[in-house]
Amino acid sequence: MEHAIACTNVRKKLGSFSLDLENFCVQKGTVHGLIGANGSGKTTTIKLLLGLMKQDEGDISVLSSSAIAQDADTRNRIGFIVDDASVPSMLNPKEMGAVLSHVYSEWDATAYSKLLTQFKLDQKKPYRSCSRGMKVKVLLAIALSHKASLLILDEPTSGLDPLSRDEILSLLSDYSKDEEHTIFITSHITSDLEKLCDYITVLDDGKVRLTEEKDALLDSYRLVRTTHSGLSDFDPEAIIAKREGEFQIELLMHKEQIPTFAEPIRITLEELVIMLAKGGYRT
Amino acid sequence: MDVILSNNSQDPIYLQIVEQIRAQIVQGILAEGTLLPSIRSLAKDLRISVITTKRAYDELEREGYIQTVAAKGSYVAARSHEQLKEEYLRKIEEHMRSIKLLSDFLGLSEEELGMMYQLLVKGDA
Amino acid sequence: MKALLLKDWYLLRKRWGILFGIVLLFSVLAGAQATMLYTLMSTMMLLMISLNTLAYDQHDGWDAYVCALPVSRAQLVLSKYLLAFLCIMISVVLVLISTLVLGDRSAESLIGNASVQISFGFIFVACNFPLILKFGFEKSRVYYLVVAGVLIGLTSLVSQSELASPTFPALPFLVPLFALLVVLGSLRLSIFLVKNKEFSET
Repeated sequence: MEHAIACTNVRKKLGSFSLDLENFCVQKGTVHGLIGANGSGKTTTIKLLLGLMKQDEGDISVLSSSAIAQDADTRNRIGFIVDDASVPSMLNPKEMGAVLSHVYSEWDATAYSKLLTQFKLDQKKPYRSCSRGMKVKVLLAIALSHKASLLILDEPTSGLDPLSRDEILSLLSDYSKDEEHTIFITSHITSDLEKLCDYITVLDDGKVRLTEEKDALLDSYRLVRTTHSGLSDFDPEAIIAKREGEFQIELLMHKEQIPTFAEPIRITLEELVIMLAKGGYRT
Repeated sequence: MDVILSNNSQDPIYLQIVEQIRAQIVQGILAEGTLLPSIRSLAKDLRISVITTKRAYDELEREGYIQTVAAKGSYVAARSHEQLKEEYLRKIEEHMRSIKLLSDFLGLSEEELGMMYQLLVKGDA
Repeated sequence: MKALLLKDWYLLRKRWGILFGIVLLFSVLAGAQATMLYTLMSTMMLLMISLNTLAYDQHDGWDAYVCALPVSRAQLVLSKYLLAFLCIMISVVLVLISTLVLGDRSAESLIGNASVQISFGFIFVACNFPLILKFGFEKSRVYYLVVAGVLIGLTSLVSQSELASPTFPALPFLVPLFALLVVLGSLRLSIFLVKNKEFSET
């Protein structure tokens, strides 16, 4: 099984919004990030993968299962966090653990307890009394405590302080050291994905704009700064996108197409995504 | 083993890794037979993708610096004396090119350069 | 299934002390009174408790979460119906005890009570659950209160009328049986509805 997740010609219409995943896959043993603005279709994608929604057309395969909504055995191996879906708010982590130990065949109570301690979570505190950050940590502790081979996470670091985000990314990084483990993670915090992912997919208005290996992606583009008068020195065909300020202009170009007089600057994932969007996703 | 990636370098990341590991092997910092970190743990530590570290290791293996044993990992390969000599010769040639560039810029003649070298040798003796 | 009922147990033991107190009160009154009203109220209150777990499920997002767990949707629906049946049985037992202690100890009366409670309970569940599972608790709220009112009224009237008299001895057994069939049909419908449910709301 090479692909942990494979979507072929998947389409889903929700009101005026339409999700279109023509050919999207996540390789086993990798960390694959999905970047997109709010409303771009990230959560819809996740819900389709977990069987919480059904696609209008196309095939979805998750851990080799083509009907995840009916396949409890496969769901047994998936750890997840998804928006709008949560544990009973009146239960505390301890009770949750007791309930889930009868649900997951490989529930690891020791690992769960350890994670709750590491996260400094009070085992007797009801879920609804927890802050947003603590809630996510509970859900993550659950996802990591049943020997899942695939993690499907919808914005697990949103709304968290930098220290918590770092903690979570560190845990996910450790999880991914095992080549049998795959992570599919969505976020609009590009810096988090830049640290963690092997592959990046950009989703915009329901469509996949690009899928690339992260380092190759960041290695192939550069930022170049020039003045308004200096702009004419550049070949317009080579300019993928530009951002005009009052005193300078930033250009997005392919590394090989940068003229010798210009200073190429390495670009962050966030800047790249913004510039690509400005340029209409010309690559 | 130390690897530090530079944001200022224009080289692709995998290449930076190749060069740093190669240098440490040539300088003897990484001795023959040393087990290198797995591509995954290296990737996670440096916060780069496993595809990149794999590419770097593949390149090092292609060049003969490391050997990968299935299910065990990658080791610094045994180098023959000839191979090491060749590496050092290559380095000297690189340095010579730099010197030539600089001396061309200044307009130094071959004799003047030769004299400078003689002085250096005498000074060290 | 065990996990789902366990979860409801954890939920219930935190909150429903007061409600259960009311249930007890009604049960006691049921035993002491001749009318069916308190009997039905006692069953109704217990069913409300089980309905409330459903409401919480939907409000918390657990109904979506559980569908991504290795639990079949059929099991999910079954556990809700099972909980409701348990509640009905508890109310039957409570009224039974109370009647034995306080009221009319005739076999007819006891069987009659149980029969009415079971039938009422089953029909109540049968009518409301599919709707709540499909449209959500909030949207169905008015509907089920109306159904509850109508059923209670009807049942009260019928049980006090001629039909409940000993002229038709098999009735107390036939009616619950019929109600059981209805609720089983409702169960099938609910399973179908939940199997096809999509969680698209944000």
